[in-house]
Amino acid sequence: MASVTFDGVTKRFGSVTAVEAFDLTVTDGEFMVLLGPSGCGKSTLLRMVAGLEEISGGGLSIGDDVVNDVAPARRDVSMVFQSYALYPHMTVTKNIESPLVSKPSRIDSSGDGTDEVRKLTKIERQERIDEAARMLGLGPLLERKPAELSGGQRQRVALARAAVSRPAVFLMDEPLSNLDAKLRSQTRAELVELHDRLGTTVIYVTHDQVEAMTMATRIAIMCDGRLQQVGTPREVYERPANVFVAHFVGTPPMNTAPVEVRDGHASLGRSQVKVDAPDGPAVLGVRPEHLAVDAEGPIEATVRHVEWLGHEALVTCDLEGGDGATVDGGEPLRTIGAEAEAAAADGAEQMAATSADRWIVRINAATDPVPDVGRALRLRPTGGNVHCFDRDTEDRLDAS
Amino acid sequence: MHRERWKEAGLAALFLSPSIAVFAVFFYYPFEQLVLRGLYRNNIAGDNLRYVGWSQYTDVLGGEEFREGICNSFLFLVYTVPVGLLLGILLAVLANRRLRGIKVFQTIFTSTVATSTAVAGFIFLAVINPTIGVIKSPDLLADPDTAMVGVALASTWQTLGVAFVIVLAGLQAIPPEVEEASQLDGHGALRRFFTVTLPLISPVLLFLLIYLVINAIQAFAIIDALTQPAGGPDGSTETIVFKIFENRTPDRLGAGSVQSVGLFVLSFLVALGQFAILDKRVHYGE
Repeated sequence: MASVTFDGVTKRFGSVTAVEAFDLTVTDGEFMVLLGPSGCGKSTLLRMVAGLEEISGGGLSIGDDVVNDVAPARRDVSMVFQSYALYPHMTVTKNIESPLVSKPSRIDSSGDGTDEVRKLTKIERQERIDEAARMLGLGPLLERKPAELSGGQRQRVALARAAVSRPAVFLMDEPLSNLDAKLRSQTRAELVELHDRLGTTVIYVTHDQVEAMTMATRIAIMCDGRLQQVGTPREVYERPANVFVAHFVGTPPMNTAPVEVRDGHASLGRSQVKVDAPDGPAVLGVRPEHLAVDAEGPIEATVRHVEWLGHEALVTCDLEGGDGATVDGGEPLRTIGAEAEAAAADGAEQMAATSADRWIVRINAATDPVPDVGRALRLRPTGGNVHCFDRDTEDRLDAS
Repeated sequence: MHRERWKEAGLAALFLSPSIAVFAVFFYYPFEQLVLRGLYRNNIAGDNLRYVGWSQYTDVLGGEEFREGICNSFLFLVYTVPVGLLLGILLAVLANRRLRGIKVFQTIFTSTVATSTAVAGFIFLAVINPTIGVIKSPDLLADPDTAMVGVALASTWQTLGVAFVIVLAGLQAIPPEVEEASQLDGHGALRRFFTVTLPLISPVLLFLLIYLVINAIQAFAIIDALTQPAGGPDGSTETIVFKIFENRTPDRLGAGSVQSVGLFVLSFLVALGQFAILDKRVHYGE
């Protein structure tokens, strides 16, 4: 077990900067999820930890050792690849045994608190294989080759191969993306159990916010090679650090619109919303589940579309008096369109996308009436769940 | 049900008919003629066909000429195939790197693919010429003991481009993550090559091996281009195809046909043997 520290880590491919001055400490035993859209640099960062990409600048430490120039096999890390990267010509047994043959493995401490690290004997290797196979339910599959396994079984073999040498850090690069929805949900729970049992530090890369929210101890959200926010799933959901995070975390994403704040009120089209933010141009954000239909509500809207999902309904509304992303003559938001595109490209489970004059309201279909298309209604943010961001920097305004 | 089956069979025959036509016209008919010609003996003018039956087969295939041709072909195979295979793998491994300018080397190594046998022969003669050559070696081609080595060297050089391209394609088809997983598993370069890379390109290597073996068994043009007199000195480079070529005169057509059939059967058995022995060691992926 070990911590992983990124100290201004930078990666450049020619003139392109994939990761820029990345600072983060993954504490010992933590399940850290690197979350971001495709091309944000999260996999590059993981590959730098594995030693598969050279680091262009900054320092990377595993435990107390700076590992910038340490060979992959000497970093005491193991990795589960998106494609699993099993050796197709070897049986499951040989695949799992592979990391034990060439490099030293950690042996249980003999009571003095320090782990012994050495190459294992053939008998010890077999014991490790049996243990990993038992842990991941691979017993009946040990003599099969990867081509004879299902996607889920291959994924478990890849996990067994990663776990068998008891590394200090597990690296996982979107390991669930090739599984179907049901198996993905089941494997998420299994991964969390595995982490609880082994207590190994995990760095897990994904673009799927559901995976991040359900498995992570903390989430590091990335965009364009930069760290946007680090926090527990609850923190990033409840207090997003900027507009990008507000949009990226949450399904459907947070509703946002440019507003002008004066005397504690944001003017949204013809509506006035009470906010806790300094005067000036800002971006107002309200999550779909924090909007309620209320005849006395400050936001006027018209229902344009209803998605009925059984237990809830997603109601898309046009805000009255809104004129696109330039309400009050403000500049168009930088991230709203780009983020919505990115989310669509990533195949995120978003059924609808918001814009500055088109908001989504989540209604509990079991308890509240679902409005019809075309109906004019008024909305009210509930429980003071209103977020405000700086219009220029798009960073969260602390007062909100 | 019965009607459905007939309909299906008719459709299958329709789809197969182009292949069957090509096979019948370009393979079956010439081969049948070859086998039949082996049953006849001609006079010097090429007529006066006389049926001699299978005795010509036993005479020719058991004769000194056929044995000598096969021995020379086998020698040529031994000189060219292992070296060609190893050099192809070596160059492809060297060129399969993400280095600046590597495409230049890949192009150079591939260039012999586009070189005709005559040109290859001429270049090789110029390179090893004892007086004006780049390598002023003893004249390998003038000595009956070394002439086969000389032509084998030239042939290996000529087929190197094909071997290189085939192995390089195999190497480039290996998923990079598998190599990376091997790196993380602590496999050194040599171990990685033997336990991961080689098994994953084994289908390509089996194909290349069969190609090189068949190429060696059929060797003719490069020998014809390099040796003076052709097949010399003292017939030391007369492979079986050379012998068949020499039997092209009208009165020897029967014997030549028998040798051709013998060569076909031998090539077929060698390819079959290679598949039978090596196929179990080849991994064909998913």
